[in-house]
Amino acid sequence: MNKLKSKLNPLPKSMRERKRYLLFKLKNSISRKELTNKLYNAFLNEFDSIGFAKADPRIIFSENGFGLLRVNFAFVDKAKKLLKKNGFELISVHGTIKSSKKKLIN
Amino acid sequence: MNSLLDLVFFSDLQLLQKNAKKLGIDTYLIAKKFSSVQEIEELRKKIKKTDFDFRLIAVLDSIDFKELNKLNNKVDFIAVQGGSVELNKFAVQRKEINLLLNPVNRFQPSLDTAIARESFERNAPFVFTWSEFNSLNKLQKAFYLKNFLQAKKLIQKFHVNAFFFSGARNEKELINPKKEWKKTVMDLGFEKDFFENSFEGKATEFFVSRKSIPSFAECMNLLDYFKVPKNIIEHSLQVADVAKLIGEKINAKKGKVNAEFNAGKKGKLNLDLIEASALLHDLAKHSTDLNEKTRHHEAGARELERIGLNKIASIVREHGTDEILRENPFTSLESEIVFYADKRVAGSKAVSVEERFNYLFKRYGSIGKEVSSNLKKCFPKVIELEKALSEKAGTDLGKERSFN
Repeated sequence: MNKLKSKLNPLPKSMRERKRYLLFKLKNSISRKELTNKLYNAFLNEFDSIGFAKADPRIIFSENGFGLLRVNFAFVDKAKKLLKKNGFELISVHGTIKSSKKKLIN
Repeated sequence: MNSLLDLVFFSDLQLLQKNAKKLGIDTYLIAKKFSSVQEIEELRKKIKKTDFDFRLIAVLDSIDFKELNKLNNKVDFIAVQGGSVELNKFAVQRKEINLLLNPVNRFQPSLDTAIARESFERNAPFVFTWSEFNSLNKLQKAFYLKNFLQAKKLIQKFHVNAFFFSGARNEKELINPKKEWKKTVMDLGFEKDFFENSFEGKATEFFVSRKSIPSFAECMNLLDYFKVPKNIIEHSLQVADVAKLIGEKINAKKGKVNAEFNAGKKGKLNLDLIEASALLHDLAKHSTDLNEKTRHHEAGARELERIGLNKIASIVREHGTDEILRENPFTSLESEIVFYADKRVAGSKAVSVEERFNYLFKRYGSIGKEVSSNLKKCFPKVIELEKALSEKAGTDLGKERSFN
């Protein structure tokens, strides 16, 4: 009897959402957990559950005073406003994590 | 006829019947993890005493092949409580499993293109329950919907059937699923037609109509839908007349004809099943070539399985001429009758078996040696079948020429 694999096939690129990565500065020292909670609640209050699901925000990293937020392409402008509203300074928007890390190093 | 359906996880029949009128529900699907076959039978007895349309769904919450075999044919449907990748895959890979409940979770994606494709091909729809969704807090709902959006893309791309029900576990959770799910489903971007079909239309076709045998008019509609040419329809009509007459003769004799096939059950032949199977037996004839490799009866059976007519599909599958060469070629007497009736009709005329085989030799004998040698082997077997059916019908069927 074959064991059923628990891995999923990756979604084809045509079915994947386009993402954008927002590099921002953290004003005060804040843990990743606190940052995640703050931003998730901000998104939820602004968009409700369905909007949050469509925006699909996720903190990729938060270290050395900088954070990287991933959102869906259509929600970039709204995400920028939310970051500003919550006291974070936006540095730049990128299409890949690699380019955002490059920006950080520079 | 469209009716509103709902799926619930408890079996208080009186309560469900009382609420059905209030909520406008026509059919309740009772989904439960049954502990034994006896429990199913007891529930069926209780259902018979009511005059409401209840259907039973046995739910599996783990990969358990023994349990699956035990439940097969004991309930109306078998479902798997999905959510994990393994369970979702298990549900769509097994023919015996009819539904995948709640395939989406709030933690990580659990559906991919392979699962969606198999779900469509095996006609094993996704079912989403309101109770599962509504029990989450705002943030949990958001993550659930995030995974749901991915599922929605797969549903749309692969034309997977998706149904939305209450999944009520008690009286408080009983709702009109169409009203509750409407806003969420539309906000997620599903089309209005899709939404309507998820509660009526396709849902009725899957849960209610699927187990019944189509009427003469419905069979004719199906033949029209599959664009079957006029000559094949005329042939099928004559085969249906022949098959039905043979069935009536056997029923009239009131012998213990089904005991052989149905483990001691006495009973009359299902004439509606015979008629419908005969009408639809050459459904795929026109879309397959005069080629020994393409089996029109197999293709027809697959199409019928896709629309949920499994009983008819198995009879159609067995009507191919060389199926009689297999050991135990027929699973029911109805199947034998349809097979024989097909061998008594050439074009749209009732003929003898010999005349029919002469016709087959002329038409298919030139394809290859294997085909013509198979036909030669089949002929005596069909004559044997004719004798057996004649005995059951109490008349020499070989001498019958007009079957009107």
